[in-house]
Amino acid sequence: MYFIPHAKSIESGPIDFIDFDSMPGAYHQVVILTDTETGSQFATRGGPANEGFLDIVKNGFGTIRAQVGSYDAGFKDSPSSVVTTQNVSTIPTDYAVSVSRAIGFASAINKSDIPYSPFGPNSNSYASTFVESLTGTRPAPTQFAPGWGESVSSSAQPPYSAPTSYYDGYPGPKK
Amino acid sequence: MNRVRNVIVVLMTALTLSGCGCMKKKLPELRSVLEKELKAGDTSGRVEEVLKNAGVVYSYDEYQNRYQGNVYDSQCGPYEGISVYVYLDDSKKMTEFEAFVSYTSL
Repeated sequence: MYFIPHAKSIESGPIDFIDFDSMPGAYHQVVILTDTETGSQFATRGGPANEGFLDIVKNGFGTIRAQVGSYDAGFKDSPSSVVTTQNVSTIPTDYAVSVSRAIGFASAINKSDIPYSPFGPNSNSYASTFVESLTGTRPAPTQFAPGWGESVSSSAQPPYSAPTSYYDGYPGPKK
Repeated sequence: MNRVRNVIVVLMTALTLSGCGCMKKKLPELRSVLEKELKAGDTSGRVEEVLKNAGVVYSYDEYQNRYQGNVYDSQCGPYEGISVYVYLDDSKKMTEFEAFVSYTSL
């Protein structure tokens, strides 16, 4: 990890957890980057790309679909949906660099078509792998988060950088 | 014991995601509205107006120069929604959008 003069330090977490009413005790992880100077936040998360019960029966759970963006009401896992927070660490990396890595990581995962499984690789595997790529460690979650120990980066290797095309790696606009 | 828990996790994940394809049915309607109302070159003000009228809870992501937003329906539950991204160019004019069903699960 490089120290960048005039860099803002960021928190690589917290990992936030979303509870499931239908799955008591199991949690979905979201990674949030926080600029310790401005308070600005950016987040990334994964989820299954399937399209309903029939798809699950026919094709399994689909691949992991990553999403990344400013952490606010417009983000898929909005702040109001978070029930528990785990602070992970503070790293001496420029916030914009970490944001770029989050965008690049999401893009790499979306291009990799990694099959989703409830036990992993899943959204918790995605979150933990990204935290590890930033901090060098994979902290054990404070909540029951199946799949957190599994890697999603078998075909998406670091360093991650933002794609040259702004929508590169996303499903893409419907033509 | 682990086997039982594994089976339960798979079943509950499937049920969480099943959602009767609720938002998938609503996706074509929303996409149709956005295709009708938005066109390349629209200002950010126009984009915001269209998103608001379409019921999209949105924000602007300065790092990716795009609007991000979601639509939920109480009948479909909190774990299934439609995610919308509207991309802008350097002069803050719309270039294109995408909308897809997104899920929250383990």
